[in-house]
Amino acid sequence: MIQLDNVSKRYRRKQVLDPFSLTIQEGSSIGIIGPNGAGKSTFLKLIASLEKPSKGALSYEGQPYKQVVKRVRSAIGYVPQDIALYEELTVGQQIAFWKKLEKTKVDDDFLKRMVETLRLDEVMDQPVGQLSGGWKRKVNLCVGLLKNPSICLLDEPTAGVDLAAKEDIIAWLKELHQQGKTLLYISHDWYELRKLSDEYLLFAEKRPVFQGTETALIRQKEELLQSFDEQKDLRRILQHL
Amino acid sequence: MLTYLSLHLNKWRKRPFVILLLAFPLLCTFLLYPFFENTAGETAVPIAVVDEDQSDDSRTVTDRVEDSGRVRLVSQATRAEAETDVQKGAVEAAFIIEKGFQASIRQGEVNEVITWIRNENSALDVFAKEAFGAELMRLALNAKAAVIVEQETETSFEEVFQYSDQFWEPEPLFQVSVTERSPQQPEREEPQLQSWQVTVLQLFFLYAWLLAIFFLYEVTKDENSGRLARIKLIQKTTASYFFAHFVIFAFIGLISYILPLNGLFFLSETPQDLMAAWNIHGIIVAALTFIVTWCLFMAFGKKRWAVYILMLIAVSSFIFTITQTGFTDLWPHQWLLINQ
Ligand SMILES: Nc1ncnc2c1ncn2[C@@H]1O[C@H](COP(=O)(O)OP(=O)(O)O)[C@@H](O)[C@H]1O
Ligand SMILES: [Mg+2]
Repeated sequence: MIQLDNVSKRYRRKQVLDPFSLTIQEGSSIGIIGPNGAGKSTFLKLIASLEKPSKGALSYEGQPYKQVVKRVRSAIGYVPQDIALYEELTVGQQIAFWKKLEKTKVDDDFLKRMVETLRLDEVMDQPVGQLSGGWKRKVNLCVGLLKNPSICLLDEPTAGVDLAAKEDIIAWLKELHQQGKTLLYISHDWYELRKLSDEYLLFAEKRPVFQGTETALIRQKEELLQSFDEQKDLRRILQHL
Repeated sequence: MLTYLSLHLNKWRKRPFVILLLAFPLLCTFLLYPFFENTAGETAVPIAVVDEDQSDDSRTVTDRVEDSGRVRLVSQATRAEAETDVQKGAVEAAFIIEKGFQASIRQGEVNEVITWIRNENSALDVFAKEAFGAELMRLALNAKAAVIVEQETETSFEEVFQYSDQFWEPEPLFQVSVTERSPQQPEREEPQLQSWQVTVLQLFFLYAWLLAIFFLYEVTKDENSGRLARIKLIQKTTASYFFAHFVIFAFIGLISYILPLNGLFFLSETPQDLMAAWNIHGIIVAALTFIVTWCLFMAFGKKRWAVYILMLIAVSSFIFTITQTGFTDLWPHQWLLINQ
């Protein structure tokens, strides 16, 4: 269980997240939605311990992040929005490199299953730089989840990905959820969100404004749209419900 | 540590010109050295020679000393003229090849056959003294061997002399001192590098420093692409990442300075002591410079602009030191020098 208590984030002059509190239950699969610039990526980085909150505190299993940061980092797999890979290395070398950096022992069966589901064997010997966007995303995902983490944070794992690759990724994430892992992923695609999420977290105007099931979201839709009148993007996101 | 090293080696293997960058100054040294050497020849030490013997052997000695390249011989007719030149400082020293030179050395007699005249300011003439001594000894020993062999066999003196002469190439084994006549014997000065060599060394250092800074660009790329964040999560801390990258950074700098430095020393046949001194001093100054550079880079927040600022600092250090214009005590290029 991860708790955020009155957390806010500010970069120098820019306030990115206004204070908010929320709880993430173990084993939940949460789809994070919201307009661009609402602070979704920053939210994931806070949970991943890659950024520190300006105010407030996070806790993992009841203990403050500051005290258990190593345990947090062991438990968390993070897939960044950008492709954070060495373009020169082949897919095989890439996986081997990150595996070597890993302090705890990598579960080879898990890795094998992931490579299989994402069909990465097909491109094992190709340099990452020469792959298409879809393949790069899949490798990016694979490296992020290499250590078989119990909490998976995914920042737009299917952005700019072709349909076939998207299906592979959804299948794999579904499997992870079934294994009981906690999933948090940012997406703009309702097809994918509906297949994976049992809960939604809606960001608007620098903070999460809704957390709950799809039914609850539909019930509150009009109210939300009225409160955030000027947010045209929000209307576009929610119109599909 | 090794994981990061093999990562970079892997990258560089695919772009061989990166390896070339490391060896570039060394290559330049070997290609351009003949050019520098010729320019330097004009600044060779001027030495007066008076040949009072006018024999084959006396001519052989002067020719060979001349060919050794470090001195420029100025012929003088009389001992008096040579002494005046030394007094005036027109030449660093004078060597008089005494009458009866050839006869003496063909007997194997090397004492008091050449007189060395210098004044209290003479310093760089020791090269010439050593060269004369070496040639003298070579001729005398050959002669001695020839006399012995001639007694036992029927070969002529000339044949044996020629034959034994071959064994002297390329360097004589030891050197003899010649009779010295100097009003006040000055302290013998430590040999120093020539000023063009010092400038070239400073260029090498600039190159090495810039190349090392250029490597920091890789760190900024890791930071900007999110790979560093990934490393932070996977390794729990970035300490070993930064340690490994500092080591590679410093290694690139040190290698690309030390390689051409010794290449130059090798080509210019610099004495061992001098070589060791410049190497040790160079490694210490370079290591300190790289530590400070690294700390600045970290303090600047590993940003791309920091790389440009650091390159600017390196170039400033070189220019300000070479031209002796500003804050000269501050620049690594100044610390690099040994009592020049
Ligand atoms: N490192 C940073 N420094 C300054 N501003 C940032 C930084 N990262 C993000 N921001 C700003 O924070 C806001 C929210 O960014 P982000 O969390 O990426 O939003 P989202 O993922 O919802 O599109 C944006 O306006 C962005 O410009
Ligand atoms: Mg984002």
